[in-house]
Amino acid sequence: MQRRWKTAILMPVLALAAAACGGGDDGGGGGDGGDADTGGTEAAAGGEFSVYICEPESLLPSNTNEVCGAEVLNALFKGLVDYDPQTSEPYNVVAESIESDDQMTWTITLKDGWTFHDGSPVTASSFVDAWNWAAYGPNAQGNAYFFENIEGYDDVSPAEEGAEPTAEEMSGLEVVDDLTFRVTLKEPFSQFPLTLGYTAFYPLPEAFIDDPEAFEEAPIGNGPFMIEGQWERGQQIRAVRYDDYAGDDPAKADAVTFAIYSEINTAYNDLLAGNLDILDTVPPENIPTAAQDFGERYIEASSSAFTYLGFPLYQPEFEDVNLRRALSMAIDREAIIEAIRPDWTPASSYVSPVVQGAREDPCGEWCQYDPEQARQLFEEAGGFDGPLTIWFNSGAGHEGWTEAVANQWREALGITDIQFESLEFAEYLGLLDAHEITGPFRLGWVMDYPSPQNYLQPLYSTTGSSNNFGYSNPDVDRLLQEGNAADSVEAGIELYHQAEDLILEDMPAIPISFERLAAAHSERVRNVVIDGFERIDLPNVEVVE
Amino acid sequence: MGRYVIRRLLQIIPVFFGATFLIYAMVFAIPGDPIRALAGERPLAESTQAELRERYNLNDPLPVQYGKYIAGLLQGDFGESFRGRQVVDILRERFPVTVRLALFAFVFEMVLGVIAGVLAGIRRGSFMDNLVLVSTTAVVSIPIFVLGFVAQLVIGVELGWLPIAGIQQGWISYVLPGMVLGSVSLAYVARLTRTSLVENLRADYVRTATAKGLGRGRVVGRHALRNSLIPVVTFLGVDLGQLMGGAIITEGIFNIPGIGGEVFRAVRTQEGTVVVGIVTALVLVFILSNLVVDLLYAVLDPRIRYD
Repeated sequence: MQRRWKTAILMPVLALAAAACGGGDDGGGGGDGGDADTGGTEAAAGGEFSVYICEPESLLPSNTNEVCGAEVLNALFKGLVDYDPQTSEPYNVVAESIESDDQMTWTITLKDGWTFHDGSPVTASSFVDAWNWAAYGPNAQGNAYFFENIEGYDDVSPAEEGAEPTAEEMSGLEVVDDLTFRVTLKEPFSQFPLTLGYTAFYPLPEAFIDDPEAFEEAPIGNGPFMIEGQWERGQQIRAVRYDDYAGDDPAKADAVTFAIYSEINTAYNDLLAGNLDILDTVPPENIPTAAQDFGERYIEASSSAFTYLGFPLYQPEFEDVNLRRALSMAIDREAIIEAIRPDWTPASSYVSPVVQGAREDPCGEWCQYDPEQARQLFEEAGGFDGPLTIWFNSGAGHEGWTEAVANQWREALGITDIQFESLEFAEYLGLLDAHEITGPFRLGWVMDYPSPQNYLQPLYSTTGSSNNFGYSNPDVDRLLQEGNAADSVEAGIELYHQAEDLILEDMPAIPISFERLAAAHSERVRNVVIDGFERIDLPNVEVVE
Repeated sequence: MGRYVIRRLLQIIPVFFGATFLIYAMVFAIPGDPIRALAGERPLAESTQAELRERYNLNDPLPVQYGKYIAGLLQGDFGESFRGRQVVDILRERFPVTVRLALFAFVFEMVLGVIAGVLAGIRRGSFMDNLVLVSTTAVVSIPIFVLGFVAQLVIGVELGWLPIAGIQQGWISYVLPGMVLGSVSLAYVARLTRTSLVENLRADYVRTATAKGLGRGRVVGRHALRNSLIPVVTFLGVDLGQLMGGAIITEGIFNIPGIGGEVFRAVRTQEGTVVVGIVTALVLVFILSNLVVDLLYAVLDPRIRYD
């Protein structure tokens, strides 16, 4: 899953400029806000407002795996389930029920009466056809991997280079009647219902299959808002309330404009100038003053983004678990966050606090700053010879905090020779895959669905797609499998927690932080709520004026 | 004259191939696998990656990739981005925006720059001369992103006079970014005009003109200034290309959806076809604007002839 591009190269210089100029301005956000972009209505219901997004990479549900496209699609579409913005707990939306006796064969029934914006009904085929199209290899959709665990996936999307698909549809998808379909998985997966709110699983109308390219310019969904006009790239996407919406959270406003910005600093200035209503990414350097400038209109929300320092366990120097623990305990996360990253909270687990059943502090002492004990463990492990290299991807704002970590290691553990290696993301990922990293490396993780499984299996199972550590613990693998085969979502979570405890004991990665979203909005709107997916609950935003 | 123009236009062909190949090779040389990086920490499905590599010829060696690209180009196919967008569509939607921005900056710097230069030049050492000297020095020494942000905060946020982001409000959206983009060149134009004019005012032919009894306005306007504009026009010709290619910071600050941000994005994601498409278009602008400059010499200075 892709992280939001952090305004890359320009950010440091722009940040300097903004910091230099930002001091004296006493909150231009209030006052004469925003008659520029709307006609304005007097009632609480109605009106229109604008929301910041970055440029989506795609507006096809099967190809959208970054937050900006997801924000738009979340307004235009509704999936089988959705998640409570506070607890991330799933509830049925288009689905009437999602049931399975063996966690392998899932029977999904739909509610009657849902329609797409073009008037056509949402049926079982709307899901089955969309999923088959997304999984079909030659369509090369970014979210195809979501269907990997459905039976017949390998026939429509063979992994071998140059192999032709032998089928166009997955055998594991079966339409029973207009409102019922059956999904057969390759292996039991207790968390399956939790995954179904992801963009990849949205239903698509027949109009999509006819012309996917035209569809992307103006997606036709079944959500509370429908697109007006087209995706004006680099500028905006406008959507209006869909009056025949079948869900119980119809849009309160008449219309929403997704204003596309390439720089968050510019968006922040536009918010101050009253041209923008909601910004869910206040630039980190403005966070200290934003709380004052915006008062109650400044909101913080937990996001699912997790940052860690991984160990290349394939390098013999990092084999000793005491060394890994010592390095973790020598990091003063609070100090780093206070000084450098106000948009972070310290992490003491591998699983974000926004997922279902999140635990307070499973890492315990290994994630607490304790320089003395760190030193002791470090010496027990025999110290560290030669240069220690910290790896990270360049141009994404990781220079500052990795430098701080290095200083803390120098101070607490007496490691004198610490070096840095920063590479462009593509090259960096290549080296990670090839196991050519020589020291602690920075990576992140953003959830696709709010289950601990999503934070654990891809990263720490022996065959995990993002296991860059070379980590393998048969007990962890077994517990994850058992969690997948558990009787219910909840029973599965219990087992995942046990797996997480084992992983934390082994510490293949140092948990560093979870991100906090800092959002602010104009006086024109109220009831702005952000969920664990960094998405704003747009239907419930009210325009006051 | 006609033959000269044709010869110059024919020169575009080798420049075109050289430029496209160089750029293509440079993007090719960026280390790392662009398809691997498409989805970040979690890799795309194997089959998806294989399909994309196949579709964008990423398994081929450089000469084959470039050959396929040129072959497509000759059939009018500019290729597509990794997200399946036609490069032609990207150009069609982004190029006019950058052209509008650059033209606004160009007119701004040309008109104000020449006026300021003339006012400073006709009375050397006067208050006006010093004012132009000091203010242009100030502008040249401030980095453009500082200028951009200050202008945005003061004129846009504090005073609320002009829109500060996007192009939704039509031509007025281009005013502030255009002024910021053109400001540094404006300073150069003013300086060049002034220096050149001061020098020419001391030349023999100006004294002759004055001795003939021509009015001051006519001497300065028709004789001295016209001759003084040759270095200015040279600078402006090069600068038009510079403004378009160098607008990336200004476009970023003012959220102008031009080619700057797109090139930046495409370089980061190693999308060779997109980078080559856009940069080649820029190269053509450079070549053509330089041709126009060379032709303008003949208009400004009758002694120059192209046969």
